[in-house]
Amino acid sequence: MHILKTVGVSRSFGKFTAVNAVDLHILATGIHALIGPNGAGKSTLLNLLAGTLPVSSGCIYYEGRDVTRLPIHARARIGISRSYQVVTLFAGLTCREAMQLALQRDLSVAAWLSPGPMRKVREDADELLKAVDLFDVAEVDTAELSHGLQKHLEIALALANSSRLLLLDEPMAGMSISERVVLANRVRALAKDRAIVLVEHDIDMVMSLADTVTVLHNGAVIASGDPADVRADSMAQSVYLQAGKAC
Amino acid sequence: MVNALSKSWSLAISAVFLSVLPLVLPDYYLYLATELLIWALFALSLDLLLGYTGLPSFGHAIFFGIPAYAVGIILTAGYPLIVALLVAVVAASLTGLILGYLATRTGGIGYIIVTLLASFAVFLIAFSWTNLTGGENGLYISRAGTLAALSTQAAYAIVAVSTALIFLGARWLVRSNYGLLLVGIKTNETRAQAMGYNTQLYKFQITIVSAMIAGVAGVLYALLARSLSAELVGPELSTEAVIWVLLGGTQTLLGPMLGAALFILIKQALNTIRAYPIFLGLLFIVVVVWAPSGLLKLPKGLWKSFRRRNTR
Ligand SMILES: Nc1ncnc2c1ncn2[C@@H]1O[C@H](COP(=O)(O)OP(=O)(O)O)[C@@H](O)[C@H]1O
Ligand SMILES: [Mg+2]
Repeated sequence: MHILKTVGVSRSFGKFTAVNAVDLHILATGIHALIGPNGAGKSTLLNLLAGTLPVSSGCIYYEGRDVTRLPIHARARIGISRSYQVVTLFAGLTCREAMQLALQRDLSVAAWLSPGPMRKVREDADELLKAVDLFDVAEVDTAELSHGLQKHLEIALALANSSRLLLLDEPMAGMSISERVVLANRVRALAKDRAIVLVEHDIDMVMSLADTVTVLHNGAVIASGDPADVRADSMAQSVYLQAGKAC
Repeated sequence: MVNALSKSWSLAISAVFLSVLPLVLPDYYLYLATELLIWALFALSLDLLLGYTGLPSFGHAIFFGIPAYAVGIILTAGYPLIVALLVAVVAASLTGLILGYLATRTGGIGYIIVTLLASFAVFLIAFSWTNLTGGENGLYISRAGTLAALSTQAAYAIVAVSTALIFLGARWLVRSNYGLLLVGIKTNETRAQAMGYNTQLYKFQITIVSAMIAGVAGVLYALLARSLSAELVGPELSTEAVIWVLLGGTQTLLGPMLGAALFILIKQALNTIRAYPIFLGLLFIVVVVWAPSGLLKLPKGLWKSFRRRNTR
């Protein structure tokens, strides 16, 4: 079962084509890695899927429904959520407040203004923070967290509303080895009952983690399939070498 | 806990202060206090946009002046107060709807452009449409049926109670999860959208709420001062209101209210000196250097640097 399909999705910036006629099939569970050298169009493609950027041409189907023209907030509400390559959370809000913000989304404005539901949201936020080991920093400004904790919080926020498609843009960049391992295990566990699209530079990490790998080069897909098959693909190999140098 | 306690204390002190004023102040000063409360209410309405949601409303006088003119024009035409108030409500809502729609349609700088230009445009219209607004000469509302027909104490009481109730309502709003969303939109609108919030809708909503509060202030002003001029919708008042908010401290409600009162008092006190703008300018420099996040946050900032020095 596919949760997301793109048909000939392209995006241009002026004359430059950053994403070129991409057909992507994302399964409903598991990790689908997007790899390719810097500037290959990975972040742009994620932006198109999330709705941060409109496509120049092509179509995006989510759970069989055409979402190509759906704005970002409407896509979020049907279960597409994302993290950013550069984490910026809510400076001035605490972790608890950020979590409340994520959790309260599906309540009515009336509930936002009523003491009962407000207390409930706060309690739920604390529960969720405990579940991801962030309760200790509940009162800390999101901007003052360490980079690793910001990434963890960002993913916890993206998951607060039981999203079914999680788009992660280089979540492991800038992390220590031990932090990477923790995050990799977490992503692995999450992929059991949702789809995860993972942009990642660390080829070894990708190969051990992903169920499917798609290689982008100059905005186009040059290989896609099992990690083992992609590794054997000669064209993909030449791109790896480039990517290896670039990073 | 200590914080919450000190906050309810400051509320109690404010309430006592406001109730004692009419007992101790002579009429002239009580009238001045009434007017300051109205400007404070106007400043509060702007803080909801500028301070809490990060919406730079640089034409906020429109929301104050148009309902004020509506009341003035209808009363002058000989209709009873209740009709004038109803027309003012309609005028305030329409202004909020139209301007809110136009200003939030485009993100970021679009909000400044739309509100600032609208303020200029409405100012020019109010200035030149002499038949309706009195143009250059202004519009004078006769005493009957206005706050001026009451005793100074009664007029003060009406304004003070309205301001206090609206303040409490605004305080509840900004402390609710709705207020949390507003601050979320201010600090990271893109992420709020990615979380599933149609941020444009909430920016539109809070613009209308703010416009209605500014409209109440404008109506109270019209009924108290009874003399309206085009400045009340113009860019000068709009800009001054932004300064009140920044001076007092954004995102605090109380700060902008005190900022408005302080600014006007200083302006009035120095008015007799010809060089008074220089003193105002110096005040701004003091604020920018020692209290860049506003006067209300000055004690906290001083306390912090004091503690830092002592623990070093
Ligand atoms: N907003 C933009 N305007 C112009 N060019 C852009 C924009 N975003 C990305 N690009 C260009 O598109 C190409 C792909 O960028 P990106 O998707 O960020 O690559 P990746 O994430 O694979 O490193 C790059 O050459 C980049 O310069
Ligand atoms: Mg990228």
